[in-house]
Amino acid sequence: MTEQDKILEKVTSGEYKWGFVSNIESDNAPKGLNEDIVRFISAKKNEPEWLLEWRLKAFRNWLKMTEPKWPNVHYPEIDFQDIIYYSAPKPKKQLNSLDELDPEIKATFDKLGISLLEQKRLANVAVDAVIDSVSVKTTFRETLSELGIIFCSFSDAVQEHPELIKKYLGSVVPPSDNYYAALNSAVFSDGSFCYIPKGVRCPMELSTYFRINSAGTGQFERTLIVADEGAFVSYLEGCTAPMRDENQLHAAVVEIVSHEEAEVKYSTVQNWYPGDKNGKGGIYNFVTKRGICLGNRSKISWTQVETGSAITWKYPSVILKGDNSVGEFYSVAVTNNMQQADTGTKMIHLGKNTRSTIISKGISGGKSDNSYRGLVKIHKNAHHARNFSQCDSLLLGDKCGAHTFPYLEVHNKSARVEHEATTSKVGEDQIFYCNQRGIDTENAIGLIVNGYCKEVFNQLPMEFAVEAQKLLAISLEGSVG
Amino acid sequence: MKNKVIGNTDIVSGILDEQNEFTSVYSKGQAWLNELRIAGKNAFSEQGVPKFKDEEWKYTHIAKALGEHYHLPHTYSLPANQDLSNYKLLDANTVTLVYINGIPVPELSDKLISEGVTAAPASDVENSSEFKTFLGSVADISNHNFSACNTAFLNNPCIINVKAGVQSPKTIQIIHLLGTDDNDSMCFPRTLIHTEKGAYVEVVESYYSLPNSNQNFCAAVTEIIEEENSHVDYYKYEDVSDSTILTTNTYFKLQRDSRSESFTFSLNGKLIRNDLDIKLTAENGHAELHGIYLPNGQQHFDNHTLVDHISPHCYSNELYKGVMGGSAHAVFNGKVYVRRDAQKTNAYQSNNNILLSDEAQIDTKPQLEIYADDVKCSHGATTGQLDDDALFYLRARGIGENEARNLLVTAFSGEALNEIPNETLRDVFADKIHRKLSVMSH
Repeated sequence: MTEQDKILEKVTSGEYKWGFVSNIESDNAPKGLNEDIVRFISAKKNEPEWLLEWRLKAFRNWLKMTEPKWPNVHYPEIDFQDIIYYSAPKPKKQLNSLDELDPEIKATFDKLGISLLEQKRLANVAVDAVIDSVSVKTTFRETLSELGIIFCSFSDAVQEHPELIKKYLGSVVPPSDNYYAALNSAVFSDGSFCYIPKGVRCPMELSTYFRINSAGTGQFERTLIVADEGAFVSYLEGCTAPMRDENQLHAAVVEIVSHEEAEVKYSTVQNWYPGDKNGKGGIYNFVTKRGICLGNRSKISWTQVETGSAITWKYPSVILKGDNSVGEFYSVAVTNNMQQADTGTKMIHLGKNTRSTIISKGISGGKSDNSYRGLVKIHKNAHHARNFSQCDSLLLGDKCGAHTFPYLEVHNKSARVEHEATTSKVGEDQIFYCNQRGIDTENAIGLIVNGYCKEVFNQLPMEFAVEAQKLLAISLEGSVG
Repeated sequence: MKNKVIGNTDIVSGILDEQNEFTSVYSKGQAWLNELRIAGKNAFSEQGVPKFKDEEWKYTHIAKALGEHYHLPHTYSLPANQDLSNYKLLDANTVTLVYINGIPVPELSDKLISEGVTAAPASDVENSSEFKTFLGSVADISNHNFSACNTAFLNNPCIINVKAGVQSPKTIQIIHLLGTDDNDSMCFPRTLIHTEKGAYVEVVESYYSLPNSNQNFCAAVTEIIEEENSHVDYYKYEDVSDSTILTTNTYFKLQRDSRSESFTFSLNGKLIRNDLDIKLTAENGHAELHGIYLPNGQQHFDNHTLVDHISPHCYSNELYKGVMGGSAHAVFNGKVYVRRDAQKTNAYQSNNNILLSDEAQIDTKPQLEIYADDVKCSHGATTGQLDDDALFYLRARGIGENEARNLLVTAFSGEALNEIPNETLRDVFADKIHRKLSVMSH
C-alpha cells in the first residue's frame, strides 16, 4: 500500500465524533401512524381546528401515495408503523432565563459547540434550538421583536400568529407535493417560523439547530420563512444526530417566501449520523426544501454543506416567479463509507429576466455513491432567462461512484442555459507539487479538497464557514489542518 | 421488465397479430433465425410501446404519436418514374444497396461479394449462417422496445463483412425507402456490420420516404461489431416525410484498439428517435460520436446516446448540435457510463442548441455515471440563441438578415460537421443544412 493509499484509507474511515446520547426524559407518542397519532400530535400542541383538518387531509393524501423509487439510492423498505412520530423533552415549564435550562440539554449544546451562553454574550447569532421536535429555547426573541421580526418555534407561531401561518403554510410545498412532504404535513411536530416585515434588514444571522435524540424517532420539522417587501434575512440551519444502530428517518419541509425586492439566504450544515463503516445505522434524510421568489427583483440563495446522513435525498429549489428574480444554489456534498447522496436543485424560471446559478461540488470516498440531480426549466414566458450550472465531482477511492443527472428543459428561445460538469480524482501531479514544497500528502489532500470546495464555503456566513471546514476535516479525518 | 409501463395495448396487439401472420410465411427458413424472432416477439409483447412515464421516453410520447394500428405493407416496388439518383448521397466509388420497407431490391442494388468485402442481403450470402454468431448479439432487446419489435420481424437483413486486414476501397451506401400509398404501414430494416482484425469500412445508411406515401412507422436496427484494431465510419442520414415515425437503434461493440466514428444527421420526419449505444469492451477503444438535428414546424427529434466504458484506457468524444425552428421539439439525452474497472478513461460530451423561434423547445439531459476514480470526464450543455452582436456585425456589412442568420447557424452546426472525415459527405451535408435552414421559420 502506498503512502497515499494509506492516507486515503485513513481519510475515508473516520468515526462519527458527535455520537453521544443525552439522557433527557422524553415524552413520546406510541409507535405507529394513524389518524389518532395525527390528532394526538395536534392536541399535544394545542392546535386550532383548521390545522388539525389540514394535517388530516395531508395524512389521507399520503395514504394514497406511493414511495418514490426513482432516486439513485438503495435502502431497505421503511416501516412507517415502526416510528415514533412525537418525542419531546419532558420538563416543559416556561423558562425565564438560560440558567433554568435543563443542564443535560445545555451540556448537549456545549458538546455541539453552540453554547447558548456564549452565543448570548457574543450577541451575534440568535439560536432557536430544537431538540427532537420541540423548540427548547428561543434566544434573542425580544431583541428581534423590537424590529418587528418574528422568530419563534412553529408551535408558538401557530398560537401567536395564526393569520400568517394560515396564509403561508403549504403555499410553496403543498401537502400533496410528494410522499415525504405529505407525511411531514400530517405529523410535523415543530420547527421554526420566521417573518421579516417590510423593509427590515435582519441585523443578525438567525439560526436553528436540529438534533435527533430519542431512539426510533423520526424528525419531522417544518420551517417557514417569509421575507416581506424589501426585507433581508440570513438563516442558518445545522443538524446533528447521536450514533445509533437503527436507521432514523428525517423528513423535513422548508418553505421560503420572498416578496418584492426581498432576499433570503438559507445555509445548511448537515452532519447527521452517517452510519458506521459497514453502512449500519444512520439517518435517512429525505427533505423537501423549496422557495418562491414571489415578487419582482427578489432573491433566494441556498447554500448547503452535506457531510452526514446514511442517505441524503433533497433538492432545495427555487421558483422564480417575479420578474428579474434571482435563485442561487451552492452545495458541497461529501459521502464516505456506505453513504449515499442524491441531491441537487430545481430552478423553475417563470418570470422575465430571471437568473439562476448552480454550483455543486460532490466528493465521494469509501464505497459511497454521490449523485447530482438537477432541473433547470425555462418556462415559455420566461423571456431572457439565464442559467449557469457547474457540477464537479471528486473521487477519493476506486470503489465509490459519482453521477450527474441534469435535466435542462428550455421552452423559450431567448433563454441562455449552460451546464458543465467534470469528474476527476485528486491529481497525482497536484499532490506531487505540494510534496515538493514540503507539504505532506495528508495535508496536501486537505488543501486540495478545501480549495475545491472554496467556491461554496465562500457563500457561507463566517461562523458556518469555519464549522463547515471543521466538518470537512472530520469527514476527511485528519487530512485537513 | 416490471418497471416498464405497457403502452397502448391496441397497437401492441395489432403488431403482434401481424407478427404471427409474418411468422407463418417465413418460419420455414433457418431455425436459429426463427428463435431470434420469437425472442424478439416475447420481449416486445412484454415491454409494449413505451409511455412517457418511462424515464427514457419522458419527453417523447411515442405511444400517442403512433396511434392505433399498423400493418406490414404489401407492395415492395419502387413507383414508376422514380430516379434513384435523388437518393444517392455519394456517386463515385460506392456500392449501393437499396431496401424498400426493409426488403432488399436486387434490381436496383449493386451486390458486392468479393474476397475481402461482402455487402449483400443475407439471402445472397451463401454462408450467411456464420452471421448467426453476430446477428442479434449486441442489440439489446430486453431494454429497447423497438429493437425487440424489429427482431420479431427479422427477415433478410443487410450483411456487411470486411475480412481481416482489408481496407474496403468502396463506401457502402444503404438506401432505405419507406412507406406505401396504403395507410399505416410499418417496416423493420436491419443491418449487420462486422469488421475483422485490422479491417476498415465506411458505411452510409440513409432513410427516405417514398413520394405520396401515407403515415408509416419504421423501426430500424443496426449492429456494428468491430474486432481488434478495426475501424468503422458510420453515417446515418434521415430525411423522411412529415407523416413518418422513425426509430433507429444503433449498437457498436468495440474490441481492443478499434475505432468508431459515427455521425447522425436528422433532417426531416414527423418523429425521429435515435438510440445510439456504444460499448467499449476492451482496452484502447476510441469512439467518436457526432450529430446534427434540425427540426422545424411540428417535427420532434430525439437523440439518446450511451457510451459504456467497460474497459480501461478508452476514449470517447461526443458532440451533438441542434437548431430548432417553428414549434419543433428536440430532445437530447447523452449518457456516459464508466464502469468500476474502466480506469484511465477519458470521456467528453457536449451538446449545444439554438432555438430560433418562441414555440420551439429543447429538453436536454447530459448524464454522467462514474464508478472508477482515475478518470477524466466532462460534459457540457448549452442552449441559447443567435448572438445579437454577431448578427449586427454582419448586417452592418450589408448582409441581409436572413442570410446573416443562416451564416451564423451554418457556422454553429459546422462545428459538428467538421468532425466528418469524408470530405465529399461533409459538403453534401453542408448543402442539406443550408437548404433546410432557408425554409426554417424563426
